[in-house]
Order: sequence, then C-alpha cells, then structure tokens
Amino acid sequence: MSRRISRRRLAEYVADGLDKDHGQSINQLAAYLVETRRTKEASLIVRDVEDILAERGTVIGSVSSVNTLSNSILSSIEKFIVSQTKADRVLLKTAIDEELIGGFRVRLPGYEIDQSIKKRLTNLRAGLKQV
Amino acid sequence: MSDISMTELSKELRQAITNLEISGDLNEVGVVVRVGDGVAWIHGLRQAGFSEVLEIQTDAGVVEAFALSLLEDEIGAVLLGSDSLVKAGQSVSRKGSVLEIPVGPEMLGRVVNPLGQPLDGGPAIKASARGLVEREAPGVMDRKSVHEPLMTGIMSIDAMFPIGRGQRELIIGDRQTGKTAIAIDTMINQAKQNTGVINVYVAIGQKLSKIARLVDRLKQEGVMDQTVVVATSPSDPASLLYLAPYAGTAIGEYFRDNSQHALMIYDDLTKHAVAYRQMSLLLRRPPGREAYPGDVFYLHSRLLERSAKLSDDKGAGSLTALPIIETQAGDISAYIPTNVISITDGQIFLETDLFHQGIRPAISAGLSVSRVGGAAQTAAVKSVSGNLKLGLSQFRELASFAQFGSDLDEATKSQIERGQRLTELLKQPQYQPLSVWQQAASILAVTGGHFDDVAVDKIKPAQQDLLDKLWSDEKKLMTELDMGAKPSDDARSAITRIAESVAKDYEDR
Repeated sequence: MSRRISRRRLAEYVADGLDKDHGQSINQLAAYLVETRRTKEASLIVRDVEDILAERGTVIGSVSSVNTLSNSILSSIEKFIVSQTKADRVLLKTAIDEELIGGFRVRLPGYEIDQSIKKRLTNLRAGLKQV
Repeated sequence: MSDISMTELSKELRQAITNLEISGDLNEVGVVVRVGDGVAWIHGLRQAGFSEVLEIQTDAGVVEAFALSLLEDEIGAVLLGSDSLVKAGQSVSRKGSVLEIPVGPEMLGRVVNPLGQPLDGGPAIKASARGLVEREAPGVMDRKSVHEPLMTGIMSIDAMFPIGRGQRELIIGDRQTGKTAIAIDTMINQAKQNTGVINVYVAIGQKLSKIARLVDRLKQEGVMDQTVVVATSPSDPASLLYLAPYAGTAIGEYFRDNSQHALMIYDDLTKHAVAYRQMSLLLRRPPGREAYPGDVFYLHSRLLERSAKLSDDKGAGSLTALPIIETQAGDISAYIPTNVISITDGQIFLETDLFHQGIRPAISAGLSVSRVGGAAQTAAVKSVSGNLKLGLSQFRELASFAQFGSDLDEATKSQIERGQRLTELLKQPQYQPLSVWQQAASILAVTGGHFDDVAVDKIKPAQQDLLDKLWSDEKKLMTELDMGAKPSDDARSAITRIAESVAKDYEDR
C-alpha cells in the first residue's frame, strides 16, 4: 500500500504546475484523487492551493454583500488587502448574500474580514449571553 | 434576581455593546471539515498552538474547543460544548490563549464545572484572578521538603501512614470500599480542627446524585465555606472530564501561591484516564496497552507534580493531593494503578475483605505506605504509634495462621489478642474524625496494654469512656497534647491512670 500523500503536498504540486502547464497538473491530480478514492477532498485541496498562492503573492478572495458594491469600494478593499497581506496580485470575486443583512464580508485564504450586520448581531447575542 | 445590581447590569451591557466594534484587521479563520463524538476537525488556522482555545461560530453562538492534534492538513479540536451545534462549514477562529478559569477566594463554597461556570444555581462568579488550566509545576528551587502534618482525623492513617502538606497520597481500592469516605472525612477534619486548609474536591464523571449528597454533607458539617467542588458527570463530554482535575488544580494553586494550604481530591483518576483514552482514540492517536495512548503516564504525572510544598521564599504555601484510583478485583498491578502508584508519595490501599468484615476504614496495613509523611507526623501521635504498622501487619498474618489450630504459645496468643484490640480500636465511623489528643490517648491506652483485659467487643465503648473522662478531668493536659507536641510525663500518667480505671469497668467478668 502506497503512503498517503498529504493534501498540503498535493496542493504544492498543483500550485507549482499552475505557472507551467496548469491543465496537466490538474488532470494528474484528478486522476490521483480518483485512484486513491479521495475525490471528496477536492474542495479542501483547492483551499490549500489558494493558501499556497497567497503565500507566494497571489491572493484569491471573495467579497459578499447584500447590494452590489461600487468600483470605488472594491478598489479600497483591494488596497486594504494589499496593505495587510503584502500581496502582488489580488483577485476578488463578488457575490450577493442577503443573509448578511448589511455591510460586507471578505474571505481570503485563511483570513476573513467580516463587517456585516449579521456578524454584529451574533456578537451582540454572545455578549448578552455572557452578561 | 436580587443578587444582580441593575447598575452593574447596565454597565456590563454597555461594555458588551462597545465590544461589538469589529476591528478592521484580518482575522485568521479556519473551517470545520467534519465533526462527531465531541471532536471537530478543522482546516486552516496554521498558526494555532497546542492546547489553544478555538472559537467555532455556530448559529447559536460561539462553541469553544481546544486544539489537541496539530496535523499537516488539519487540526483535531476537542469541543467544550455540545457537538450538536457544530456543523461542517462553520468558521473557526483562534482565541489567542490557552484555557484559563476564574480562581481566588470568590470560588469558596461554590460548585463549578471545569470551565469555572457555577452549577449550584448561585450568581455568576466574579473572581479577581484567573488561573491557567495547564501550568508548569514548581521547579526544584521553589520547593521545600514535606514537614508539616495534614491530619486526616482518621486514626489508622494519621498513626500508620501520616500525610504531610505538599504530599501526594493515593487512595486505592475496589468499588464500595470507602475511598471517597476517607477523602470526605479528611475534608471535614480540616474544618473541625480549624487547620485553615482549603479543600478542592474534583468529581470526575461522578453521578450528580452522589455529588449532591456530598455537597449536602459538607454543608451540614460546616465545611463547604472552605471548599470548592469542581463537578463533572458521566453525561458531560469527555473533554470536560479530561479538564476537571487540571481546572481544580488551577483553583488550588491560587491558594498555594498565596501562602495558604490547599488539599486536592481527585475522585477518581481512573475515570480521568478513561476519558483521555476516549479522546485520544477519537483523535486517532495510536492505542497502546489497554488501548490507552502512549502519554497516559504524563497525563497524571504532570497533574500530580503541581502538588508541592513551596519554599519560604515562595511563601511556604502547599498543595496536597489525594488522588483516588478504583481497582478491579483488587488488582493493583493494572496499568493505571501502577502508573499512579509510581507517581505518588505513597498509597492507602483499601481491601474489600476487610470492609466486609466490618473493619472500616478497610485499610490494608501491609500494602499501604507513606513515603514522605513520617517527617511530617505530629510528635504526639508519632511517640505512641511507633510499632503500630508492623504489629498490625504481623497480627493479620498470625491471625490467618491461627485459624488452622489452637495450639499457640503464650507470646503469639498475646500478640493476637493485642492485635484484635488494636484492630477494634482503629475502626472509626464515617464523619467522625478524631483530634490529635484523642488519637494519642486511644493508641496509648491499647499499645500500653491498659485495655488488655477489656473484651474486644467493648473496646470502642471503653475508648469513648476514656476520652470523655480525660476531657472532663484533664482538659488542660489534653488541650496541651492537642497542640501536637510529644506527650508530657504528666499527660502520659494521666492517660495511664484513667485508662486503667476505665478498663476495670469493662473487664471480663
């Protein structure tokens, strides 16, 4: 029985391959996951790849809000991320999430900025429970 | 409600609202990958440290967990709350600290869980200090040898296996042999003799009805004011059972570090080891002997090493430990009993057979030992109990031989008869600890041969008469003796005189 390769190792291999021929490394990973019956781990490996890319200067994140954010706000968020992470490149996806009630939430590999009303209400509930 | 001041409530509410200000910084977050059996597996949080507290954001608020398995791909965290609230996909953040609980005099008289939350229905505990649940034991230079007695009030222990402040003395025996009774009597004695020792009773996976009975009894005896009870029941998650003794020790350490004396009772460490085994197996650590993980020795050694007598420079406080271990069919060579026996400074072994013969406390004189307590024994008791342990061990051996024939020489016969009287004397009802003078006078009466003509079944009434007469006739001498010093000639002659006169009333006719 071959030794189990950690997700971190697999993600490093894919991240290395992205600069060269990313199609080939992704196909290889897919074949490996099918053969070792680890296809359920695909989404976690993608997260790990994002982590590694962030360490190498490319931050891929998502911004969720209740309403569409203006370009100026998005650019401010991008600048903030660059200042906090020292990233060379920031790639942000936007999404609408009505559950947030108001404000916005930025999710980056391994990090988060939550400025939503939902978060504030959750904190209020936790604070009141303590009282 | 009356306990809560409205001004205070309003102040706290304002503080809670102020805390809502969310910082604009990036927060390190992970995500719950899977959860079950009280363990959550978390992806991310690569900076998390061992034993660090993690906060899982659930729909019903924050559920805390602590990281115990730091693997390459994920973190295994043991939940401190209900796992039914935690779902895969929920975000997790680091608290930035290891587990700590409230400590200090505010805890006295309270029943709390291992997180320091009250279980007694009383108001929230507002302790001025907090103690780390996991903490390093005092170093070599911070310690002093054990030299002050910690009287249990149980004659057979104080005379034969004395315990000193800062000592770790194991109480070991099968189920229903009186292990907890010894611990409770020791706690009661601290209040009765006004020693100032603080009791911390840690119930690990004990039935809540048993804990309720114990708390009631402690209240009845007036001990609860100087006692803290850390309680966990069998229905609590294994993580809480695992934390209970460490949390209790953190509470005891506060008193130790503030020049006071505390007594820890861990009831019992067998259940603690079982809870840790459950956690370790769920965290997929390799099982060893009896399926316990490899570090089960360290689990208890790091706990009991925190009990110590501190040096004068450190305030001379002490933390004494009475861990309890339950054996199966008297097998003290099982894995956990041998581990804890080797860690502690002696053990009090309780035998089922003795218990059923009515010898209670059912202490085995042959298998029990106190390795460091001799230096701490009260001079009053020490001076009268010199050969007690040896004599009692020899008697039990001779008595088993004597069953086979009645042709015994005079010396053996008298040894057996003395042993029978001594055994009878050392029987002691629960919740009735004896003071120093009572112990010294009782032992002197029997070992001095003054009760040799008293029938065995009349030894206890004769002892009671002796103590009553001594207290009424020689109160001053007995009060002096109670201070713990070696009995003066006057005290000895008074005890001898009254013992002989009492013995005459009880002689076989």
